[in-house]
Amino acid sequence: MDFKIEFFNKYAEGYKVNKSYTIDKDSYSKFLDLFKDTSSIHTNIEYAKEKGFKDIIIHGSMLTGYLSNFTGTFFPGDRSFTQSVEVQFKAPIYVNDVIKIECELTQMVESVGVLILDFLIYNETQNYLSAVAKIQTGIL
Amino acid sequence: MTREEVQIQLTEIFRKVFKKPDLVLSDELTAKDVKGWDSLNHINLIVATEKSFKIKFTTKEIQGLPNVGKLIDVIHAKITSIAQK
Repeated sequence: MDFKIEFFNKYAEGYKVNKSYTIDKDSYSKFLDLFKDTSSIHTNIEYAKEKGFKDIIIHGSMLTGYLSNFTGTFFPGDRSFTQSVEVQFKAPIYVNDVIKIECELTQMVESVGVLILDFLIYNETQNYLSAVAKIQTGIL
Repeated sequence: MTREEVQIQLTEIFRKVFKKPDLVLSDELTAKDVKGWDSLNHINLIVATEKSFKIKFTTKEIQGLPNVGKLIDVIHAKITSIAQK
């Protein structure tokens, strides 16, 4: 059966799924090396503490990378492709924090093969909500 | 909901999707007439329309729609059908 038809038959609006990630130092270093946003809040611990944070904070765009991993390899998975992403960053994530990405399938538009996914990204280490996001993804 | 009311609600959706607050819908309007009405915005339009009117289109219903007037007709027919159930 066609994957898209199978997907839309299998899932329903309101479906929820989650996955946790550890923001390890190696991944953070690679991100920093790749994009070279070395602004002080992301690299200077003294500066970060002076501004009221516990440590240097990870880049928000790194968080969207984990959302990409979630949608592309977990849910909806391999046959999905992102059409738009909206993210609001609420509270910082530090290196070695564990985040839990909770996803709710809020709208299924079978006629054009599109899903709307709402995300809550909890920082389980710091025990607060770190970000909310909405992703529109197509199913091939 | 009357056909005119559908057109008014759809106008707001079009204005938001295409970021054109003065856009006026007519039955004859087509994708060629609206700057930015590309394939992705067409998808966005369908997504927003289904959500706003609380309806679901079939692929067949939205394939080959010749103009906005026919889209309004499809929406109106669906809403009328739901109301009669």
